[in-house]
Amino acid sequence: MPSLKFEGQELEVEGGESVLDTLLRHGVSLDHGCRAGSCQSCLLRSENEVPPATRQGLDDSVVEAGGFLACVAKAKDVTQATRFSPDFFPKYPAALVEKKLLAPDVLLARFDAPGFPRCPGRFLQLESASGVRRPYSVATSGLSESNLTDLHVRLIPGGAMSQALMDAQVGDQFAVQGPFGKCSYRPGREDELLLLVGSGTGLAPLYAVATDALHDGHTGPVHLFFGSSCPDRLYFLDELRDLAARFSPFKLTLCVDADPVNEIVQGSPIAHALSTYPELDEATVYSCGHPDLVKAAQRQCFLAGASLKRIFVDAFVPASGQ
Amino acid sequence: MSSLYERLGGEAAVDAAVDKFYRRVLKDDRIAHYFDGVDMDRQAAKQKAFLTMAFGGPNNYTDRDMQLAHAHLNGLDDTHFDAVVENLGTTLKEMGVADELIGEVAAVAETTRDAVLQRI
Repeated sequence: MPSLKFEGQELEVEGGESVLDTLLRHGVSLDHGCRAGSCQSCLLRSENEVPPATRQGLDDSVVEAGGFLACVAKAKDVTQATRFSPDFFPKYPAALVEKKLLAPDVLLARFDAPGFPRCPGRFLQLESASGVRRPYSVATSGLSESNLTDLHVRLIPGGAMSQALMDAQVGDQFAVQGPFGKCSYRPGREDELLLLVGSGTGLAPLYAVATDALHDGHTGPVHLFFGSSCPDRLYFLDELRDLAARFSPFKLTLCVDADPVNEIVQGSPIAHALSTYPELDEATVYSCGHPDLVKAAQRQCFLAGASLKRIFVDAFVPASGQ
Repeated sequence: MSSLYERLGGEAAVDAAVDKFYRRVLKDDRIAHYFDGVDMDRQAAKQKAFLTMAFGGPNNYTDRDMQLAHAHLNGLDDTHFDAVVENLGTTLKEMGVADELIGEVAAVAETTRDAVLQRI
């Protein structure tokens, strides 16, 4: 009788059933959704070779980490599996080469992480020597030739990684793992509208995506709507205004909830984005930052006609209890 | 004689329909609240799976799956099911699909009514 080794248990397999069916039949509580290889909820990991069909649609890094879809894989083809964990992604040593404050509570942390792929806009897990792990988006400018990895770190009072970075000296060793996430510039539609909507350090991946697009020769509008509660919380403005001056496709709208000054407008970045571009059928949208903003942006841009497959989001959720 | 799925245009037709169908559902006051707060990418994947099934395409759903998937939806009744099928029909009409094919799709969707409404 064929069997499937799952997290220490030996489970007997019936006929041609899927790995998902085997596990559910044995009472394993496993997330799943579409049963069609589409939603990726049932992602597992195997140490052994798995049929390519079971990895369809998975990111390269997930494939490299041994990922496969339980609803697609037949249990008799997969002899061993465990739940998937981001721990399986490759880790790279990263030396801190520069740090400077971009705002009173935003730190630029620049790392040299040889081998870590260039991935403007996607995110990584940063790990300190003492084992603190936090996710940050890659903010390195797509227009820069450097191979360094820039992060914009929101400094949180009492935050473990905030403290670690504030204490760190240039030369200190960290590690980075990833890349994760879907926020990256997709070439191939250079004259379409790229709509970028974000708040706080959500700016970091949006800046990276925008500069990557401009580096790639994107000719359509690359319009960033960057918002915050008040003008003091907007940061990196010199760099953004400089980008707008140098590249005609790049447009910048700064938004605040209260006390607008100069060219800064009042209101949420998503509200301004939609009043500027009410129809988004031929647009690609990126939204990063506060979860409420990001969820609203995804939903409203979808309802305004953007294809869900062309809306890439990253909600920044602070670590709790640390 | 090709299958319903083939006559509709297979996976490409499903992909074209998913966004339109999901948008209609989110704008339909009768049922939109069932989709609020749900992860949109995951929901879209389920819509795609549902449409694939309704188009007569390959799927691994059992009645039990359909029942379990909808068990937590409070107050779900025939009017909600009807609203979903209606939105499906309107989506297909908007895409230029012939009436008799729309009828066949509705018939396939209809076979899930009892499971979805916890009546099996």
